[in-house]
Amino acid sequence: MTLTITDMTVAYGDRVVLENISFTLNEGQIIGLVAPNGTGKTTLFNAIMRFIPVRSGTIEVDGTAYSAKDKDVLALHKLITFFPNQADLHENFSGTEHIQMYADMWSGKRDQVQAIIKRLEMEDYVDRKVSTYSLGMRQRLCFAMVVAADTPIMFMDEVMNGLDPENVSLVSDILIDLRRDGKIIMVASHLLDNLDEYADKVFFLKDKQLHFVFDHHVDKIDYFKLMCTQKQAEKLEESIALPEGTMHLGNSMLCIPLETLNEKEQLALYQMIRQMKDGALTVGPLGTGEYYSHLYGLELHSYDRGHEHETEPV
Amino acid sequence: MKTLIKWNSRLMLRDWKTRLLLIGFFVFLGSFSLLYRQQNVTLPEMQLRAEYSDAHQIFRMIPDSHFEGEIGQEVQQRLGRNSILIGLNRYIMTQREGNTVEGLEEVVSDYLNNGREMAENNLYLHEETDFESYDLLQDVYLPSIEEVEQQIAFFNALEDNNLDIEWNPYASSQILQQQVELFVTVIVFIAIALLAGDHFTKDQVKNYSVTQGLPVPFKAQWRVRSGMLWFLTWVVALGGLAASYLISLFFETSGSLNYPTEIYMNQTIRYIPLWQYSLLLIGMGMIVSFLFLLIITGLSWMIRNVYLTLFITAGLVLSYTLWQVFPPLTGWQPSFYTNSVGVLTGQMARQFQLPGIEFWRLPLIALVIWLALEGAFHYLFSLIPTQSLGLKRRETK
Repeated sequence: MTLTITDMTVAYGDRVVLENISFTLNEGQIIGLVAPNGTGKTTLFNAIMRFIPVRSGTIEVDGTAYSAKDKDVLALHKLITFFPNQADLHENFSGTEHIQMYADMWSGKRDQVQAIIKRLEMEDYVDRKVSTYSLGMRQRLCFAMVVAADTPIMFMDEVMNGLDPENVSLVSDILIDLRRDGKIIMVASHLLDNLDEYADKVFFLKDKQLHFVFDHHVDKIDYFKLMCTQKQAEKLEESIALPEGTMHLGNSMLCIPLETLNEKEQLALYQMIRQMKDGALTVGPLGTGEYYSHLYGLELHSYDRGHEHETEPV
Repeated sequence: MKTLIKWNSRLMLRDWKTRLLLIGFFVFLGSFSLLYRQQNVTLPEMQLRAEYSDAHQIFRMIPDSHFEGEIGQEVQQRLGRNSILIGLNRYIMTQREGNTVEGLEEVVSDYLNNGREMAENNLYLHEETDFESYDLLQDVYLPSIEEVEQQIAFFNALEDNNLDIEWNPYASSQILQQQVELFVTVIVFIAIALLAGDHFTKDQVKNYSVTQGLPVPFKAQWRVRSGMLWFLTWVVALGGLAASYLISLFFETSGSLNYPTEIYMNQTIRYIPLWQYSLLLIGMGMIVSFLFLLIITGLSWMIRNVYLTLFITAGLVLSYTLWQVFPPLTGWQPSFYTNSVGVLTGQMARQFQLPGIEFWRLPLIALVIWLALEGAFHYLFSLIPTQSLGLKRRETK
């Protein structure tokens, strides 16, 4: 199964939110969707679901176009589930009822409900009314509902919100299982490192467009990733000529590509960095977090405050 | 469809607003007979007393000279006989034994016979156009020929069913009639408007992401929810009516469910047993209420202000009053049929001088309205109920 979006433009009145978005997703793929708040992640999901009017563009599943006609929209909704907002749950329903309802409405596989509850470790609370749930419990329930619907395409908007690390890991594992089952899953999330654990590709939305696709299956070059203040980075650059492609990520990280440096040069650079006070060095390819900082100019002001006395880099 | 019914019924019955409304309506309807007993009603015997008084007044109003001559004497005799018969019937009514008084049958005769004799006298008086005070008789004394004929038909119906004249307006059967009439003309509209006025709105405002995107057309949800609200409303209503009737049996005389009750059919008044009248009214109420539920539930999908929905509903229910100002063109106007009692009893036909306003037209009109609603909401449901911005067109350019 494939989901293909071609030249999709979405606007609220005169305000264009997304412009000429195009991509194709294949079965057994998890796609991360990343962008700062208010840049169109949820709008993209809403547009594909046709919950909002689409100015132009096509939505195709397996080569079949799904227009805005009632019949097509209904057929599309049979193929795609959209992660519900935890605030929208029926307060006087139990968790089990919510999961059963989604199973009944889509897959009809009620026999899997208990297995899903067990897998998500919800047994101790799932039969209580939702009104008694904490944020994390609700979030797991929303996830369980989408899993129970068992549609071939799943849109997981902010799926990790409110989850503790243990549950983030649990949900991530299930996402990987779902991919194994051939699902197409789009995950909008701000847990960037977590996305790297399971996403096949990460889509970055910027300037209303699909600005950059970070493909985890393409060979990547290694970087020295140096956590340091801007002043420390400037001192380092004054001391040594850094290779082309060196990136300043916001105000807290310097990424130096190693591809063009031989072993000796890498060692020299390493020794110089080691002399820095309070600098933290990691080696490896850039991850979603680094690309995010690079693309959106993320500045960690708290980092500056914590290192404002560090003025002697070398 | 089964799944849709199952989950929608759970959603409805878990909602405390729905529960409280249904319980409230059941309590109100169930205790109606007790409430009705607190009301002051004019006893039939009191009505007869007033008639008796009128019958005496007519003698004072007509000059003695007009009673001279053959016609005058005959008229005087008939008027006098009527006065006696009213008195006898009033006496029979006060004794509360039935159509006569045991042991005094020879004296007071029988209520139905007396009534028929009065009716015959009145018909005679209608024909005596040569009587000098004929106009006065017409203006202040005589019921219309149609009314007289209705009285005869009523007495015949009583006799055919071997029934006594009902002396007790608080009798269970009489309260049931009042209750059914009140329910189908007023209460049912209040009930369904409150139940359905914010039905889809709640989905859109409180449960948007859980309820949007379900693989079920909104139209199917609209039909199912309207149907279920209709079902709940009528289960509660019929339960309440039955409870009220049963309760009233403990406190009052039972009356008869076969008691002749007038309906307007084929442009004339007929009498049918009360149970048939009640079933007809309930059937009409069911049809009208289902259409209104479709409208109200549909409005709740497109309007997120329950007060506006209630206002529109009230306007539609009372829209027939427009024809008091503007000339009504035809008895097929759907608005007339929101007043089921008025249509069934012929009151609407008389009021708007359209003899064609008859109850049998309702199913035909309802069918047309239903098709029109299906068409209208087919278009409306092709729009998108966005979470914050109201309805949007789904069509792409």
